[in-house]
Amino acid sequence: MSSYIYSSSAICTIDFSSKVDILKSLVRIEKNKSLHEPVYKEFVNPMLLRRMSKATKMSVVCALKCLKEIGDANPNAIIVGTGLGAIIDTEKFLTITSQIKSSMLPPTAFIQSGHNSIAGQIALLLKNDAYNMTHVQQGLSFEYALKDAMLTLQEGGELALVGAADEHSPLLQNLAEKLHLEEPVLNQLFTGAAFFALGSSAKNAKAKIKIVSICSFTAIKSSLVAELAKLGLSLNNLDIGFVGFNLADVTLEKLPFKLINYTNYTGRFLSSAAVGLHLATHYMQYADTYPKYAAVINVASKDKLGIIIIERV
Amino acid sequence: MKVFVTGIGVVTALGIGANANLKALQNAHSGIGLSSLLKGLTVPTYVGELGFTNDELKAQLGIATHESLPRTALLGILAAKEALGDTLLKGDRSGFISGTTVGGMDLTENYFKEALGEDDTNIASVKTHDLGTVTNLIANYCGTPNYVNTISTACSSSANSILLGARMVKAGLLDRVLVGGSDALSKFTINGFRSLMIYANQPCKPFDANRTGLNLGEGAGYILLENETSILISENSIKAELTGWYNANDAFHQTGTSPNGDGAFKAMKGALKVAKLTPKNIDYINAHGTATQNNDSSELNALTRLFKSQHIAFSSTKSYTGHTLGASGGIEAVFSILSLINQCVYPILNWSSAMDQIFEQPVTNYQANTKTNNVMSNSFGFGGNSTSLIFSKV
Repeated sequence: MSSYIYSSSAICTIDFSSKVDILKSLVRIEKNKSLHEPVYKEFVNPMLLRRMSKATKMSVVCALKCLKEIGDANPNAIIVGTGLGAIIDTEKFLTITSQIKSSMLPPTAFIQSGHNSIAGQIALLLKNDAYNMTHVQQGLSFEYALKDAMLTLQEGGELALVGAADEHSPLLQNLAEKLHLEEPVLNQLFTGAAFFALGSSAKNAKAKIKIVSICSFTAIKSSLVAELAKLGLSLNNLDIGFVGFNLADVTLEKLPFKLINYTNYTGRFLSSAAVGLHLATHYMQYADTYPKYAAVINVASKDKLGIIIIERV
Repeated sequence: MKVFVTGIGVVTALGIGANANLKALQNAHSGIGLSSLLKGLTVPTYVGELGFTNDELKAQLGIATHESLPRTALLGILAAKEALGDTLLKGDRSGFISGTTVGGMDLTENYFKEALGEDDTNIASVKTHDLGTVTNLIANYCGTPNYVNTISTACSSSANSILLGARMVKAGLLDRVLVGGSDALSKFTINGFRSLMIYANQPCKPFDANRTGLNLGEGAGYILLENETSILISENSIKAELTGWYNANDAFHQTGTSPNGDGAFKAMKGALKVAKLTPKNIDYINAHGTATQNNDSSELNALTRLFKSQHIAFSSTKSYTGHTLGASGGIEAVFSILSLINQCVYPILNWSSAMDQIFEQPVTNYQANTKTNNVMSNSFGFGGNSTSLIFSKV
C-alpha cells in the first residue's frame, strides 16, 4: 500500500504562499524570529479561537487548509505528533494553582493543557468521529504520527489527516538558558506546525512517501544508505536533503546532493520534521529543477534519527 | 495474525503486582483513602495512592536515592518489569508503547513552586517533564527495543497504546510489544479536576444515582503482546488473546461526553466487529465508570443502546483504584485478563442506588467460578477520545 501526500500546509517562519523555488527566499531564524501567520479568524470562529492554545490554533488552521484544498473531505483518521503539547497552558495552570489558594479555580488552561487537545479540537470542528490519536515522543513525535497515518491507510482508510505542532514560550527560553543550552540551539528555539492529507491514490497527489524510518544511528550517511537500500536506491538518487536538528547537533559528513539545514530557517522545535516535510513537498512542486527524490533527515537526538524519503509524482 | 497476551504487570493503590491487586479485588478492599504522601494539597483529598514514597520505590528497584526519576517512571518500571518477566525487548521487531498524561509533572510542579520563590536548586528536574522522556526512562528497564513511543490521549492513553501495539502486531510490523501506561498523582491533575468541579470529596461511587464525581488514583499497568512467531522463541505461556480494539471520537465537547455516548457506542461496536463477536458474547464489562455525572450517564446510555435488554455483568474498578488517568486503560486491561484467568467478576464498591436509566445494575457481589470468555474494557478521555478493548480466554 502506497501513501501519497494530497495536500500540505504549514505555519512557521517561512512564507510558503508563492509558487516558486522556496530555497531562494529562506531567511535564517536569527534574522527572522516571527511566524508567517494567516488571519486565523478567516478560518475559525473568533469565539472558538479564544479557547485554543497557540499550537491548537495553528494546527486547526493548517488542518482546515489541507482539507479545503481537496474538497473538504472528512478524514478517516486524525493523528497528531507533539513533543511538548500545550506547554503555554500548562505553565498558565501551574501559575494559577500556585497563586490562587481558593477552591474555585478557572479550568480553561487545564482543559487546554492536555496533549490531545489539538487532535480533539480538530475532530470537534470537523464533527469527525473517526480514529483520533496523539503521539508524544520527543523529537520523533511527527515521524511516529506519520507512521501511524500510513498504517491507517494500509488498514483500508481512504484519507488520513496527520500533522504536528510545538510552541515556544518565554518560560522555555528561560529554562533553556538556565540549563545552559549552547548556541546555536539557544537562539533557534521556536514554534511551528504542519499538517498533511494522506491517501493511497497517486491521482492529483503532490508526492509519494517512500519510507518513514526511525533509526538508532552513529553516522547520518550510513543510516541514509541503509534506508535508501531498502528502496533499491543509493545516495546518488537523492536530489536534495533537508536536515533538521532538534537539541543535538552532530557533524554532517559530505553527501553527494544538495543539503539544506532547514532548522536554520524554521527554528528548532521537537516536531520540526513536519515543517521539514512540508518544505520538501513544496520544493518538489515548485523548484526550478525537477527533483525526483528528496529526504527529510531529522536529527532527533544524539542517537536517534528520523528519515523520510519522498518521490515526485 | 493473532495477538496474544503473555505477560501482565500492575501497580495501583491496591498494591504492587498482579497477585496483590487480584486479592484486593476479590475481597472488595478499596485502595481509596485520604492522601498522605502528596505534599502541598490545600484540603484533605481522597485519592488512590500507592503507600510507598519515591525513595522506598527506588529502594525496591535498586535505584540510588539521588537519581532524579519522576514517580510516573518509578510506577511504570515496577509494572513493566513484572509484565516482561524474563523477556527482553530487543531490536527492530520489538516495541514499547506507553500511555501517560502526567509524565514528569510531579517533579516539575515542585520545581515550579520553588522557582516562583526564585530557588533554582532543582532545575534539573524539568528535564524529565516531557512524556517521551518518562517513557525512555521506563524503556531503559525493558531492553533495547527500536520502537519506543508514547501515546497521550487523556484518560484513554494506555488503552490506545494497547490498541496501537495490537494494530502493529496484526499488520506484521512488530512481533512483540509491551503496551499499557503509567501515571502518578500530581497536584496539577487534582487541581485540574477540582477546577472542573468533578472531584468528589468522598470515596467515589461509580454508576450510583448519588455519585458526586471522581477520585484520582495512581499506578501503572502493562501487558506483553506477542504473535505466534515470538511465542515460539520466548516460550511464554499465553494468558489471553486480545481480540478486539477500536478508537472513535465523540466529537461533542472538549471535556464532556455526549448524552447518548456516541463515541463510546462506536468504540464498543467497532471493537466487537474487529473481534468478530456480538454483544451476547461479552460476559463482563470493565466500564470506564469514573463516577462523574456526565461519564456514567453517557456510558450507561451507550451500553443500553448496544446491549439492549440483554443481561450484562459490568462494574467499574475505579471504586478500588481511583481514576488513574492515562494509566487506567493499562491497569484495567490487567484486571480484565485476571478476570479471564481466574474466572471471576469484581463487584463495584460504594454502590447503593440505581441510576434512572433502563439497564442492568452493576455487579455488587464478588462472583467466582464464572464462565467468562470475553471481557470488554472501556476507556474514554477528554477530547472525545473513546476506546474499547476486548480480551478473550484462550
